[in-house]
Amino acid sequence: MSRRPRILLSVVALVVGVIAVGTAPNGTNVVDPFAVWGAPGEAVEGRVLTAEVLGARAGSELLIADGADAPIDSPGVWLVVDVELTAAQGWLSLSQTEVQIDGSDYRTSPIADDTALLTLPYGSDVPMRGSLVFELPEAAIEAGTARLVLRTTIDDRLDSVPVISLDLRELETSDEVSVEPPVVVSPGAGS
Amino acid sequence: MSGPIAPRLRRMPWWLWTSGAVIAATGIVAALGGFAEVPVQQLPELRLGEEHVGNEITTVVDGVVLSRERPSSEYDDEEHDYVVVNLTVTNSTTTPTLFLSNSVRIVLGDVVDEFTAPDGATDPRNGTQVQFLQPGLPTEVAMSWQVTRGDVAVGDDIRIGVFERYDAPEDPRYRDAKTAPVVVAKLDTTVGEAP
Repeated sequence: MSRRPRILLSVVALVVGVIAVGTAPNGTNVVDPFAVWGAPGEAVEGRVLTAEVLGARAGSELLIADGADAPIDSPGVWLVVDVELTAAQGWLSLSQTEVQIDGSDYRTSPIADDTALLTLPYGSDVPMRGSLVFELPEAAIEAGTARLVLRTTIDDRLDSVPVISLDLRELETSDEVSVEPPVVVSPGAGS
Repeated sequence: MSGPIAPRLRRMPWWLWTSGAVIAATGIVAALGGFAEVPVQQLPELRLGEEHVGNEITTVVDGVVLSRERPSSEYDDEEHDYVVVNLTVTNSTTTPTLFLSNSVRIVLGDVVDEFTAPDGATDPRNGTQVQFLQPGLPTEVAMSWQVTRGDVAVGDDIRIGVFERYDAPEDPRYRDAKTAPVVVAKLDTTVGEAP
């Protein structure tokens, strides 16, 4: 082989090597969960949880249906996401569920206790409807889009997780948003 | 000119050179006033309402009161009081942080020392526990320490320490890749009366 093809081959090998090293998973993201993407109105199926977003609302005061009499003020804004969730196995916690907006992660708020949907207590194949409550800084809601990441455990490495895109510009907004206790969906009930 | 001196210096043993250097350095330090003159960095002092910007949490101590009940509770067990430190805290990172429970400690005579964790961090809006701080959201928290009734009185001196921790991703001593909390600011005040 003459000299020129050998140099060309070496350069190509170097470029391929750089691309391979640059795009290889690193120590952290090599075990990231697998996102199963969806949109509101679609049933998005992860390994342990199937999720459907029914709607989303925002307001500066949160009224808990069977909790405190007075609405709870926020220095930011309350985002309430109405969902239908079905566990595929056992009891599930939703306290690690997040909305991701503009590079920040916001966890579901415990302020509404069991009135918000923080657990799926009845095990597999019992669909429940309820609300996920997030307290966000006001600037976050103005970002335009969000991703609802339905994490059911603190360690979801290599698991599949439903991730649903939310258009924050289409939110129903009012001064007060209310949250009702979760309910089991009766067989045959429509959406 | 160095020709005749150099061979003589080369014959001097190493320990003589080293000792000479140490004596000279000590002499210079002593001539300048010694190490007693080196300024010692003081812990920054905060006032009530003053903001402390930490690397993870921004903290404002709004007040300290002595209460007969836990924050947001109306039950008086008649054996205990509660020293309640009211804070406004903001998580300045991009993910929820659990560091709140370690971010403040109090020293109250012989009654509460700096190693005693608070009993709770209560959301004064409805009495639920503040489990984490959401990024960028100013959050009011009532942090409380239970004390035996009679051990603390309104007007007692109290020192509040604000703590931080630091990233230590490569240090095997810290499993969560963060250092142990260290105090970074203090606030001296007196215990007020609950409204």
